[in-house]
Amino acid sequence: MRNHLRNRWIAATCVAVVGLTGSLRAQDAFTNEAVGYKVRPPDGYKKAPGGFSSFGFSFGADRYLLDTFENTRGIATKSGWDYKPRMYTLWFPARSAVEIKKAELEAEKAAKESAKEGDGPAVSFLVGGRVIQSFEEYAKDRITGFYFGDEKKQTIGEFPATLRPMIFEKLQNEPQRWLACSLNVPGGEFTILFSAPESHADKLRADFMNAFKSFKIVRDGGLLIPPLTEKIDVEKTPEIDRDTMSTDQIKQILAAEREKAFKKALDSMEKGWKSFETEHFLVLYETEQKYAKQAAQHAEDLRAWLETKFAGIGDGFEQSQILKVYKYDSSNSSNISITFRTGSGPTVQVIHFRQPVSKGHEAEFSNLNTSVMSNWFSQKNEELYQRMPRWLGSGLDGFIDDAEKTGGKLRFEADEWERDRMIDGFNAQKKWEKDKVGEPPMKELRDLLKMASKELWQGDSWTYTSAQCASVCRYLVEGPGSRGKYAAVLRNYITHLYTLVDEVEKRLKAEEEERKKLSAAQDSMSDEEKLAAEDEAYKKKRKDALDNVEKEILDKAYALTFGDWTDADWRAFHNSWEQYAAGRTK
Amino acid sequence: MTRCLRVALVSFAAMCSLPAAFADSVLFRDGRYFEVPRIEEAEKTITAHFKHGAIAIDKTLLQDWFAMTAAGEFEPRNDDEKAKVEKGLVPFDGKWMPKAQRDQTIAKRNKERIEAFETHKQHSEWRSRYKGETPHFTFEYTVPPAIAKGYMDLFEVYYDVFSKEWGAKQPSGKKLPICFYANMDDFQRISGAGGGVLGYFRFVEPLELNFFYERRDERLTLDVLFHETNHYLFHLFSKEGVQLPAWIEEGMAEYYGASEWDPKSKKMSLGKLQEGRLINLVDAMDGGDNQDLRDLLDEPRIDALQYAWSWTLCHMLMENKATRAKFKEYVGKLAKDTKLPKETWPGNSNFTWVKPDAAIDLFQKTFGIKDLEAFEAEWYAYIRKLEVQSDRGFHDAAMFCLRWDRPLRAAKYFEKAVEMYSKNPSTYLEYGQLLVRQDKPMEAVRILELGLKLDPMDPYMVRELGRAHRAQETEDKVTRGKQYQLLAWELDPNDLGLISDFDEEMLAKITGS
Repeated sequence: MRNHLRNRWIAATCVAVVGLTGSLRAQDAFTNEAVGYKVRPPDGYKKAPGGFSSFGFSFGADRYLLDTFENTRGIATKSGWDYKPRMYTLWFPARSAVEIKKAELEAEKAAKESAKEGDGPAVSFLVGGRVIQSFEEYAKDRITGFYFGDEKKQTIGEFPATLRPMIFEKLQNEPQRWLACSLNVPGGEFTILFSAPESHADKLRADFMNAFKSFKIVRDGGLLIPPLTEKIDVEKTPEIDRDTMSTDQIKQILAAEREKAFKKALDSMEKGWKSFETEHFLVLYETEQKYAKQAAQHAEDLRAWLETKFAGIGDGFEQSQILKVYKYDSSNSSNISITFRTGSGPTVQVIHFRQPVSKGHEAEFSNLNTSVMSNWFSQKNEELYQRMPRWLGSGLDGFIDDAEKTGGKLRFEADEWERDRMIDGFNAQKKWEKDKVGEPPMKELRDLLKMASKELWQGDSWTYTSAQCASVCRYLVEGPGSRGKYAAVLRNYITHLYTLVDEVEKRLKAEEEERKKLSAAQDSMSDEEKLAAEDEAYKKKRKDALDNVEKEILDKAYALTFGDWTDADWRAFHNSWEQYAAGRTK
Repeated sequence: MTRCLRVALVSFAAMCSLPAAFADSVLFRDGRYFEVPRIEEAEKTITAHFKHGAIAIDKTLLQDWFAMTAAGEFEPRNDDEKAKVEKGLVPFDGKWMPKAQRDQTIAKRNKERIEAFETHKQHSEWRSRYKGETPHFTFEYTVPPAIAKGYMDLFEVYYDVFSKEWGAKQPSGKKLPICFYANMDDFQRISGAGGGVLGYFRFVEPLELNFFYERRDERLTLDVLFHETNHYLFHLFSKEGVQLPAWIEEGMAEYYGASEWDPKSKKMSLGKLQEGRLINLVDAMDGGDNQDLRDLLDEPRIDALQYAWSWTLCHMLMENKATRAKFKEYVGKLAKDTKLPKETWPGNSNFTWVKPDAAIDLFQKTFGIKDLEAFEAEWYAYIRKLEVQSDRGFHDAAMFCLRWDRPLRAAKYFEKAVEMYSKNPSTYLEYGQLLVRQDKPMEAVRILELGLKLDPMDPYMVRELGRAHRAQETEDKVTRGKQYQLLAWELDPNDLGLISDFDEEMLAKITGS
C-alpha cells in the first residue's frame, strides 16, 4: 500500500553524544593487523564502536566497514547539537558476481557431500546478495540524505585516489559535508571517510588529507581478501515432538543439549573470562566475581519469583541458559543497554553489560530482568506469551524491568521514567477533566483492559498509557490488587487466556490442515471451484489476521473475567488502583 | 535487492583514443542510457546485439542512439548502383556522395551525440542538476529536460485550476522549490526520505516539494505530484498556522491525486478514482472493518487505510452537486474562520486547528445532518457503488491479491489489466512470474514478450522470459531459456540475483572456463 507522507520535517540526528573529554596529545597510528593496514587518525580521534551515526544509515551486519573512530572533541552547532566528527575505514575487495556464484556452488557441493558422509564439518557460504565493488556503490546503497559533490582524482601516497564530497542538505537540522577518499589498491578499493558539519568541513579538510596520506599497507601480499566460504561444524539440533515423546525423553534430550552447549561455551570462552554454574545458568564473566555472582543470583531470584507468581501459566520445558556478564566499557557506549536473548532451540544466551546507573533512574539489572522474564514466559508457554494482550505484556515488561533487590527481597518500584510519565499523565488528566476535549490521557481501567495494541499506542498520550500499563501490572501482581477482594483477578484472567490461546492455536492449526487438504485436492477441481476455494480460504485467513485474533482473545478474556462487573465494581477497582499509583509518584 | 542497471561512462576522448569496450549506445526517452556491443538499425526498431542474444527496441522508446561502427561497404544491387560505386560514391541519408564525405558526416554526428550523452550524464548527477523556473515554481531536476518541461506545464495548470476553484494565491516572490529526481533510488537517498515515502511537501520553512519520476508507472508519478502539491495549495489556502483535520488534508490530496493529465491539451480532469485505495477499502469492509465516521472526523493524524476512507468521503462530497459547494464552504471555514474555537494541533505545537467537537458540529450543520450514523451508512453505500475500471486499478488489485497469497484471483486481475493494454511493464513481469509458478510457461512467454516491448532492457524481464522457456523442459526450450538468462546477466553483470539459478554450464559460459 502506498504511503504518502505529508510532513517530512524530520529532525535529523547529527551525532548527539555527550562528549567525554579526550586528551589532545598527538595521535598514534592505528594498525589493523588482520586486514593489514595502518592509518593515523587526526588528533583527538579515538576508536569507537562500528556503525554510522548519521540518520538514515541502514544498520546491521556490514562486511565492508572495518574500523570507526570518533573525535572526542565536539563541535557546538547552531542547532545546539554536539557534533562529533567520525572517521571510517572501508574495504571493497574486487570480486565479481561470477566468482561469488562459483564459491556458492562449491559450498553447496561440499555441504551435500558432507551430508552424505554423516556428521562432519560443512562449508558455509559467507557472502550472499548484492556484491558491492566500490564506495560509490556502497554509499548509494547504504547511506541516505546525501549526494556526491564534484569528485577529484589524484595520487595519495603511492595509490591513485578519488576524493568525493558527500553533501547532506535536506531534512537536516545541521547540513553536513563528508569527505571520502577511495584508494585504488592492489586487490580492490580502500576508502577512508570523514563526517563533518558543513560549517567546519573546510577547516577540518587538512586533518582529513593528512589521515588519507598516512594510509599504508602493512601486510605481506596486500590487504586481506576474506574468503568466501569457511568450514564450520554442523550443529544438529534434536527435534522435540511433544505429541510422540514422553516427558522423560524430552528432559533427557534437553539435558544432553545443555551439557553440549555448556561445554562449547566453556571451550570457546574468551581469554581472561571465568565461569561458574548456578541452578539454571552457566555464568561466564569478565567483571569481578562478586558482581557476576550478584547478577546471577538476581537472575535466579527473579526466576523463582516468576515461578511463584505465574505458576500454572504453562508446562513448557526449561532450556539451558548461558549468562554472559560484560564489563562496562565507554567505547561500547552505543551498546550500553543491550541485553538480548540470542539463539533459538534448546540453548539460550542472556547477555548483560554492566552499566553505570544513577540511583532511581533505572534498575541496575533492568535489561537482565526483561530478558529473564521473556525467556521464562517463552519457555513456559510460547504461544500464550506471543498472544498476551498488549496491556498485560507491555505492562509486565515495564513493571518487571524495575526489579531490584533490597533487604534481600525483590522489589518492583517504578523507575524515574515511569514516575515522571505518571505524574505528567495525572496532571494532563486534571486538565482534560475541565474541557473533556480529545481522548483522556489516563484511561479508565474498564477501557484500558479491552484495548488492542492499535488503540493503546495511538495518539499523543501513548507514553502515559505505557506507564499506566506498568503501574496496573504492579498493582495487580505486587500491590493491593494482589490481595483481598482483587486477589483472583489476574489469576483468573491468565487462566482464561491460557484456555483461549489454546483454542485459537488449535483452530488455526485445523484451518491450516484444511488448507493443505484443499490444496492437495486441487487437481480434481474445476477452475471455478479452485477460485472459490481460494476466496474462501482468504476470508478465513483475513479473519485470523494478527489484529483480529488479538481482539478476539482480548474481548473474550475480558468478558470471562469481568463479565458480571457493574459500574460500581469498575469504579471501585479503578479508584483503588489510582490511589495506589498516585502514592507511588511521590 | 536494488537493481542497478550498469550504465558505463564514455567520454569523447576515450572514444577517440581508445577502443571502448562497448562501442554503441542507446538513450531512452526516460533518461536511461546503455552501452551495447553493437546496434543495428531497422525502420522501426533498433536491435541491441550482445554476446548471448539480441534485444529489439522500438524507436518510439528512444531519444537517440549511436553507432560507432562504420556504415560499412555498400553492395550495389544493379548496374546503375554499380556505376556509382565505381565512381567512389556511396548512398547516405537519401543521397549519393563520396565515401569520405559520408564518413566525415557520420564522425560529426557521432561527436555531437557523444557530447549530448556526456551532457546528459553530467546532469543525471544531483550536483549538476538542471534548473528551471515557471511563474509559480522553481525546479531542480535530473530527469531529461523534455520530460521535466511537461511536468512544469502541469504544475502551472494545477496551480491555476486550484486557485480558481478555491481562491488560493501564492505570495508574491515566494515560488515553491520543486526537486524532481530521475528515479526512486535517487529520491530516497538524496531527499532523506525513508523507505515507503513516495514524495513529500515540507510545510515548515523552507518550504519544498520532493518527488521522483517512476518511468515504469507514470501514473504513480502523477499521483504523487498531484497529492503532494495539493498539500502546498491548501497550505496557501489556509490562514497561516491553521491546520485542517487529517481527513480533509489527506482526503483532498488523494482526491486531486487521482486527477488525469492530458499533456497535449494541457488539461487536468478531476474526480477520478483511487482504485488501489478502493481495493484495500472494499476488502476491509468485506472483513467487517468499517471506519467510524465520527472517529475519522476528529483525528489529527490518520493511517494508510484511513487515507482511503477519507478520499471516499471527499469524493462523495465533491462529486455530488448538492454537496460540493457546501463542502467547499465548510473547508473554507475550518481553514480561515477566526471565530471558530481552536486549540493546539496535536501533530505540531506550532499549529492550531478547530476543536474537533466544534468541527463535527459544523459538519452536521453545514450538510443538514441530524443523524450522523445514517449519514455514515450513506457513505458506506456510496463506496460500495464504486468500481475498479482501469488497467492500473486491475494491476493494483492483482498485486493486492498476490500479497495475500491469492494467486488465482491475482491472475484474473492481471488478465484484465493485460486486456486493457496496461502500459506498466511490472504488470507483465509479475503476471509472467505468476504464470510460471502456476505451470503455464507458454502463456508466461507470451506475457513476458509483451512486457519486453514496453521495457526492453530490463534484465529481470529478460531473466523471467528465460525461466519461462526453461520451464517448458524440451531441449530446445531449455537452451533458449538459458540463452535469455545469460543475456539478462549481460545487462547487469554485477547483480547476483540474475545468476541465482545458473548451473555450472551457464557459469562456465560467463567465466570462459
